Amino acid sequence: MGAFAFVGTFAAGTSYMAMRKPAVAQPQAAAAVQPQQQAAAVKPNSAPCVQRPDGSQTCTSRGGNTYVFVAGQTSAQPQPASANLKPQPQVANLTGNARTSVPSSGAIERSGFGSTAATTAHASAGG
Amino acid sequence: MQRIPCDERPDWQAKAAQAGFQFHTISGERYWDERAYYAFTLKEIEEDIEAPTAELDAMCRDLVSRAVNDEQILKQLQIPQRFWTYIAASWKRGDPSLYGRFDLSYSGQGPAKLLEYNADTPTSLYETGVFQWMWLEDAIASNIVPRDADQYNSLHEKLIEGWRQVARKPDGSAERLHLAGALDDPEDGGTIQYLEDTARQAGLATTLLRMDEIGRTPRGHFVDRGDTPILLMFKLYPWEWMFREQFGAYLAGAATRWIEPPWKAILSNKGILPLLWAAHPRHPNLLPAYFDGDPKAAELGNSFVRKPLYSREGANVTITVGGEQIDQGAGPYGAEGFVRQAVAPLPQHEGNYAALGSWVAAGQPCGLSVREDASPITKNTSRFLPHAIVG
Repeated sequence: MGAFAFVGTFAAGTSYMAMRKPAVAQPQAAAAVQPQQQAAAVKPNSAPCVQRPDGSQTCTSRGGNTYVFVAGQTSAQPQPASANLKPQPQVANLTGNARTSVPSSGAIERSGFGSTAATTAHASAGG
Repeated sequence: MQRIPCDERPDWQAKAAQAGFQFHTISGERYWDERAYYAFTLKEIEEDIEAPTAELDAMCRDLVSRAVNDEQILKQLQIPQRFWTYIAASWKRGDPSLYGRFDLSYSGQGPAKLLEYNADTPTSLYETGVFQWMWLEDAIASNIVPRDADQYNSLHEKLIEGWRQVARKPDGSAERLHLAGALDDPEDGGTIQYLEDTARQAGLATTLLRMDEIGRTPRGHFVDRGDTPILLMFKLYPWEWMFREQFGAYLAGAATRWIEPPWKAILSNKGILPLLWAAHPRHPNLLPAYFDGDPKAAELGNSFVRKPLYSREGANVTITVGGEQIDQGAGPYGAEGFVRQAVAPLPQHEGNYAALGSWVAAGQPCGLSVREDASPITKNTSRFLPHAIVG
């Protein structure tokens, strides 16, 4: 449904149990949402990184862990600072992974509610 | 209680469009139907609808107070154990409720009978609170109803009062209200936007969003699209759905107060019907009801209504009379179990079955809606007819 404004107009007079109807209900703003704020992205602490000849990076970060970013791969595995920093071949299957939520605004997750209504059998959540 | 055929207002569709009431027609079929109205006497309203509604509401609250301390009840209702403490804490904290709707079978002959309680996500709110009132004003002006006709309807005002109550902070200011639901569904979206309108009339600042736009921070708090913390949230979304969805696991640790509150998860369950009957046997406004599988269900004989513990708008309800199934609502519900309830035939007028919806808002009975259907099961497509008090 697009722009949608209820204008409840009531006249005084007929009432039940002395109820009071407003003469003119406040018109509702069509898109009744606060302005879409630009998400204040929470970026992880910038870590000093060293570019390696094979394209990977070694970055020292929070908690004494060292993160090894392997070229062409999309995830990072924390390793103790004392671990061997040599990049290990990653064998994870990067296709067909199921996700039920989408990270946004840094570490904020979304889509954790609403999945039941998204099925056609539950189009309306009302009763 | 009479069904009185009458002329439609020639411009009612234009008035609906002007007011923003866009779901007056659903899938090409009438939803709003003013080709007739239901006439009640003041005595019928006050003694047979309003007073029993207050009593039913009190009985339901009493049931919650027992249920939160009774594991057996919570098991019978199939509420996941991991949410028992969360629900009980909500009740013991006194989390406020905004509204609910008792669905009744009533013909004007004998007491109204509780069919079910839409305690968590009732809709048909705008058409009850506003559009049927607009109809009454026009109907009086055009002599469709007597000049002294009235309507059992202070729902709109009670919603505004209710928002002030639930949003009030200790310092006297009001919490920002977020409202979420299936906004893309015309009826749900319209209902939520009407509720937002009433909240604004109560002076609240509001934000509207879809359920899937709710965010969760790493610390476990819920935020809106702009990452603003959600501290007070109305959701037109059933608790049992939220419990089993991904963010359900984080409900207890979040700071959000919800409307309706978590304890409504008990009352929106059809399992309250046998529990109420057991607690108040032979109460005039209750029907005999039992959990499926309870040997006492045999007392109903071969005529009963079978309802899933969780369902809405008539889905997966079956009516059996004399051993013959006479009506069945399709739907996805029933996995958690069923209850059986005695049959209370809806009054039939010219082939139309009429069910009443008796509203509670801000803790008080406050309005009436009438839904009609060609079948004995009231569904989401059942037509809405206005009513008037005419004597």
